[in-house]
Amino acid sequence: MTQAGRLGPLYGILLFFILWQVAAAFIGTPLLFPEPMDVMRGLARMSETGEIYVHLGATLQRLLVGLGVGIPVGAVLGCAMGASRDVNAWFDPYLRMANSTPAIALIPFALLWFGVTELARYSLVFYLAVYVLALSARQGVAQVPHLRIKAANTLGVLGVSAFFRVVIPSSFPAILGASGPQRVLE
Amino acid sequence: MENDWKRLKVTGLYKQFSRGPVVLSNIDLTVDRGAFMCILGPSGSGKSTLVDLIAGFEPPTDGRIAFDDSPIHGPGPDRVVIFQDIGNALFPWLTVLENAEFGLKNFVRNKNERRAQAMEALELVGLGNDTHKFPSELSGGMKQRAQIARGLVMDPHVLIMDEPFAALDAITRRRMQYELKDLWERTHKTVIFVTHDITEALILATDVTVLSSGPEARILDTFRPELPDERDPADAEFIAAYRHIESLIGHVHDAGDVRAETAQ
Amino acid sequence: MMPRHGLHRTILVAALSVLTGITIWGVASGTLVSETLLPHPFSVWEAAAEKSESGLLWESIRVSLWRVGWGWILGVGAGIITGLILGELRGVESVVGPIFEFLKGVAPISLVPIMILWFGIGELPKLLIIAYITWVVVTVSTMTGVREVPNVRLRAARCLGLSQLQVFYRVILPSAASFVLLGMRSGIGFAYIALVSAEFIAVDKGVGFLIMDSRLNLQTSLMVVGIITLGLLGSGSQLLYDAVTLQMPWLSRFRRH
Repeated sequence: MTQAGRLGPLYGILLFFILWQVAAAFIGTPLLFPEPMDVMRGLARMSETGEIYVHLGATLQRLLVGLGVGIPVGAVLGCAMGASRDVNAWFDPYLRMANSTPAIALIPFALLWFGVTELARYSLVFYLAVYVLALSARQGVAQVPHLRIKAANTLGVLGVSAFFRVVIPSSFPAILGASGPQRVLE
Repeated sequence: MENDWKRLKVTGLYKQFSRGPVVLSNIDLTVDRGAFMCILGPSGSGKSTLVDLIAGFEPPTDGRIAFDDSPIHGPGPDRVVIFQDIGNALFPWLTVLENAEFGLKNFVRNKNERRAQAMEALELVGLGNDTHKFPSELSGGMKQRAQIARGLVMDPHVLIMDEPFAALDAITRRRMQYELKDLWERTHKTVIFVTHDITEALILATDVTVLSSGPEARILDTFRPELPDERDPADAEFIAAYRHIESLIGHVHDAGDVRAETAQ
Repeated sequence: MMPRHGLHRTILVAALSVLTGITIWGVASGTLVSETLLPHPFSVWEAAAEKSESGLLWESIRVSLWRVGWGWILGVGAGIITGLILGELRGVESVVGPIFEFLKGVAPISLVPIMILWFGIGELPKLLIIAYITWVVVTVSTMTGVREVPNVRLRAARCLGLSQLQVFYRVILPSAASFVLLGMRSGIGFAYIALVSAEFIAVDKGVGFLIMDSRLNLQTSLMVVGIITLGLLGSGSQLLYDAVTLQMPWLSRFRRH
């Protein structure tokens, strides 16, 4: 059981490829449903010509630029919202709007503003990063145990300095957990 | 299920989990009908494993567990367990009353009859006014009372209680101990009560079994404490019994510590 | 830590914020930014009023709601069934789980071309994309729900005399219910993402189509109307879902822990 548990994901990947191969054989039309081996060969060819690195590089660059700017902005915004009710009340309506509108619906808007440029893509990643980070940083700050702040207070660390020395480090796990690119891509 | 059983007998019980250490070694235990048997042992002494075996959740590696001569088969309503885990033992989507009725559904056809039996058990444990609450609305002590009612209503041969009060605060724990003793005096239900709290065992037990620390836990002693019906942790006999058990388990405070601890 | 303010103050600040936002938007439009890029709030309002009168807005909403509703229902039904089966087969979960997590991460829009290849451009592929992503989400949460039933709860049921089958429908099903309800809720968000993906590409009508079409015609104000409508529909659906599951006593009891 423990062994199956540890190797489980590996079996999962294997099973995935087997199912894929079976399905491809069943459908039998490569154009509609390519076989896994064909896809692998395609990957190999693209990596030989270097084509794949260009695509991968472009995707990575979009992520890095968008996230690099978006994560700090979102984290600071979220922490401020967690710390102050007024700041929270001010930005909360916009977070709610972002939350209920699928980001994909904003693509036409980004295209309209920036055209089919890198800037359009950066801006979308940026938007998502700010929104996801603000949500989780706010939650992270709100979930800091009250006892920990009290403990800091008894040690003479009060107010603003307690916020920077206790609250922010305490909410770091939540902020880091949200920073993974996968969360943002969803 | 036979109803004229006289004793629950555990003979030559061994338990070893696959390729792990031997947890229990050569356990012999007799619980007379109507007894309140406390099984005492330090943490990691295999108390919970013993409960799992008697309840039928785990098969023994060797040995047998039987009511007189008929061996037990898996878990069943003749041996209802009261669990320590107060957060998960009750069904959170059911009210207190529905929890108490839960096991009856297989045995009592009539709905009103089920309800009446469950109400009776709930009143016995003092939850007659809280029947429509959900477990999330109950305090820890009330949750354990509800669990006891859910077990009692099945009229089991044996009620197996696995450190049922360990998760409660000290004051509630002591109150629950005296309530349980009172309940037992009224029903004379056979109880197997597992604990690591010597005072708790001496307040409740008619019979005490002391397990050694694990692995390969074995029985150090089984005895009937010579104590009056009204148990008082400050009595000289109580303290003597306490010290006897402590010396068995193998770490002895001086007498002053014992008095301080038992007087709490 | 922070001084306490009343609810009134929160509402006041939020209202002030929205008002400021709209004012800045109104002032910037046509001065700092051209009206084509950022339509004036009034022209957005006019576009909404006009399309609502002509019925186009309502027709789009009707079509989109139909798709998202049926797709979601199909996906939820299928997801609960597969989740229960996969969750009950011990050991299978650790193998299949990662596949579903992977599928959850694949954007629905990448499936649109293949769905069109397979099923043409009718209603079916749109419905299937929405149902598919809901299915993945609900399967994962149902599977988790079945796996996360506390062992003590199963044991309690066993020693109260329940058979294996009874344990399944009297303990495992209701225990998993709270996870299923959560999965169904996040499924709504995923369903709307899938809806927009499907309507962006396979075009005829619907709110997603409205957004895409108004972009091509450079009717930016109508595009904003579409985006806002989508947001309102999405949050409205979740509010409705919460209201239904919290109000119905036989459902709300499964949200207790």
